[in-house]
Amino acid sequence: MRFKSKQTAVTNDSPQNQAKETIPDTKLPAALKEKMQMLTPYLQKGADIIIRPFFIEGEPPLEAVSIHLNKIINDETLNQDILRHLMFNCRRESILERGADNLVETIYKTSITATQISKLDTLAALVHAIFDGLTVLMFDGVREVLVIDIHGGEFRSIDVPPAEQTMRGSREGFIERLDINIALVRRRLKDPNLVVEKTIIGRRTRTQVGILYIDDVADPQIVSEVKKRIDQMDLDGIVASGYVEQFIEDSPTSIFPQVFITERPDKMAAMLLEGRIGIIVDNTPLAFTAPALFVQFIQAPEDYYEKTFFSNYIRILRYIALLIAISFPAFYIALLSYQPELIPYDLLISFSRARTQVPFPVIIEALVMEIIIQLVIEAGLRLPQQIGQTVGVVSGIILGQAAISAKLASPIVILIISISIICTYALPSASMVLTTRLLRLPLMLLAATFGLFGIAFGWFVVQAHLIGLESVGVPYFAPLAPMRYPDLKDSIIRTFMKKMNQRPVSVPMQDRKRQGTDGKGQQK
Amino acid sequence: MKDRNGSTITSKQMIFIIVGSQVGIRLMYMPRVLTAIARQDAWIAVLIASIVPIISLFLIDRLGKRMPEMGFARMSQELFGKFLGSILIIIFIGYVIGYMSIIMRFFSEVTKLYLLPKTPLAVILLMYVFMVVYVANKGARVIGRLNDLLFYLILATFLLLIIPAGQGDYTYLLPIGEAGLGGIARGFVTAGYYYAGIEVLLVYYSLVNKKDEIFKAGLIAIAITTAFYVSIIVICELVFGISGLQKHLFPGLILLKIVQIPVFERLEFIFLFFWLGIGARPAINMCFAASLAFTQLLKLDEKKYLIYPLILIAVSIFILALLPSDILVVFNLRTFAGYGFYLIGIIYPLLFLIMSFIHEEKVKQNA
Repeated sequence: MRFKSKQTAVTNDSPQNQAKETIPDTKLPAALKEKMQMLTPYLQKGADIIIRPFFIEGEPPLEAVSIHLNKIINDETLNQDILRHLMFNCRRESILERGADNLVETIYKTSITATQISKLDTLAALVHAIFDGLTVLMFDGVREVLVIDIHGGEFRSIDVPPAEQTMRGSREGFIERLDINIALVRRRLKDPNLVVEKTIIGRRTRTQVGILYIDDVADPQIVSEVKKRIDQMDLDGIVASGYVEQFIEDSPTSIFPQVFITERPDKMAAMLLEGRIGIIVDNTPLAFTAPALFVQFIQAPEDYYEKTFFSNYIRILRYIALLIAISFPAFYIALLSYQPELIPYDLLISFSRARTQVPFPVIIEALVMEIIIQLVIEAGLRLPQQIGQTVGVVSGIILGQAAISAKLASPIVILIISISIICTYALPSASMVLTTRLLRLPLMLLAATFGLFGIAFGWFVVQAHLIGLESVGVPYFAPLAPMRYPDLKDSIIRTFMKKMNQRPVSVPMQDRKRQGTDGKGQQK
Repeated sequence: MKDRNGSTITSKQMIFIIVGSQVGIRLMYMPRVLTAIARQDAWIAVLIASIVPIISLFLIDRLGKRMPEMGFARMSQELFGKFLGSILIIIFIGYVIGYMSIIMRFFSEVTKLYLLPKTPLAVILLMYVFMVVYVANKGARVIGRLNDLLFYLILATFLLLIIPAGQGDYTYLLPIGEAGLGGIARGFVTAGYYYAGIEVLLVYYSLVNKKDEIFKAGLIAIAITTAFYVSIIVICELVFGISGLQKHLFPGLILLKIVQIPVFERLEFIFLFFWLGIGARPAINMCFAASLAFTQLLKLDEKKYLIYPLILIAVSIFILALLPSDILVVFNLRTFAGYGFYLIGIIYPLLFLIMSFIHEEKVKQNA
């Protein structure tokens, strides 16, 4: 967590990058004036840079300057804990007495009460430190510069995770600050083997990215692979974790999410315990873990917090919801256009009675309704909450009724599309919701062209695609294919907590043992 | 990282690959063909005929043990010389193309018959061929996993076929042994065809990670296949009787018409729905084997160039499958494919094995 580790930014190492690097890596001079002269070209461009000269009392007084960015640091701390001490309680002579040869060392050991301090002595590092939001103290006649981390300023407080709320889990969600997010995970995982590494991505944005894993659980090969992929990212800037996700996933052409996005620190801790690697990007409240498995996206945190039977019931319902969400409209189209004899007779009569006045073929009818509802969802997403609700109500009641009375759609189609939309949002993972929204359309078209055979064809291709997918080199469809029998305990069903003695093997890890007892209190 | 396991498959997946190459659409028409020959003793013939794939497995395993890491095509060229070896591989590829075009034609016909009566056969066939190319191009590991998963689906849907057995008449099975030794023997020769699929092991052998488990895996696979075959024949005999069986082209599917479950009025649709992917499975396994052998033959990078022979093979299958005028012609052609199996499954490994004893020192060099 010391800030020296940040300077191992990979972007600085690549030769191509060094050519573009405009800041020379020269040693700093001793005189304050010269230092300021060197810094001026960088500092004059930013109106938000605050340069505060001051003196440390003495005969003669020691000239010093503090530089920081406005509203990024904690002003209170700077004034009370640093400047106040240096200006009022500190004398040049007393510092010199304690150790004249190492002035900086003495200053920060005796006169500054902030905790995260480091030294640096090159121009490039100094400029980066200023723009990374650190407070810099420079003294006349001393080559080395003090860098203090008193990050602060205004940011969102810890809040309920909006997209992943639970009844029984913690109410804390990640926020935009990396350090606080890491702390949220650390509070839940006090293992000294939890490794927290920080790296910097983006030549211009210099965004911090935290990589978390448990040293003696996570598979070292996967850890090094993830790190390698992050290191290979060479772009001018990232502004959200989605950038990193798209750079490290194995198949960018797949519509399935290949990393597991979460905004819950408790979920993250559980994932780390299974040997996965967590990646948190500064300024994004959505962290993610890799490698991800398909079954993960159907599992919700409550599955583990509630008792086994409830969670199994809900989990099986969610799998059914996934199937309905993807293929319910397709089945309706296929049955009605190709195999009406499969529908029970009475039902068929009411279907056809409802459809008599609709002039379009069933596929057009379903496609129109599907696209309208997708647009309603999209419209509701962007609007402020109150208006968004209005849009939902208007489209749900008025639009649906109007479409029926205008004979544009039959009530059955509206019912079927609505059911599939509800099932879509029964899935706990937002990224899987997007996937199902996208999958429904091609299946509807296949069903319209080839009937049930088209749906079976579509399913088979999706299944083959899923089996071929890999997430950081780990089979994505495990534990179903390749079939991993021990992991079936926690896939479509979840067995009793006491019976889950071993970590899942689908994600490679070093230490299989999860529980010391077999549930009866005996040591195994 | 991606190639940590290379393109290897586990011995467990090998079980399912063999089962997957054997059990397919033939389950639907096999009872009719075999009962025509061996009467009610067809199930005995099938049971005894399981010795055919076991012999094939034994020979391939012996052969593989002598040259475990060598691919099929390289092995052939080492043992028979460049020219003759290449010819043998091309015959193998030709066999796969011929055999698979028959299977694909069957499956397209069934699909057309039950699901899409108005769609042209070529379109249905094209979708199957696309399926095969799409999956086979993903490589051995994905094929292994797919076979693994589909096996459980096949098992679940197979249970549907067992439901009508309760309504059968066991006297149809009696008297046991009426066909006599001659009848059973003739049934045996035909039933041997239905174990075609084991010969994929010739190609897959070098891909399996634990070679010493292959023989066991093969035995388990043959046992599973035999269980499928014996039970479907017994069920069909119980339900239809011998003469009744002859009246249906695909008695396995008609079985489902007997079952009455409320709501699911036409069970065979649901069954077919799940079996569509399974029908393409033998073709996936064998087409991959053939194109892998082809890339090995030309010493190409198998990951990069696999797709080209695959497309070539798929297109030839597509064209060949469309040639026969109707399905009864295809049933006759099926017999020739059966002879092909005896050639590739028994005679090939035997020849290879003999040659490997003759070229003892070459084998030792490569071992």
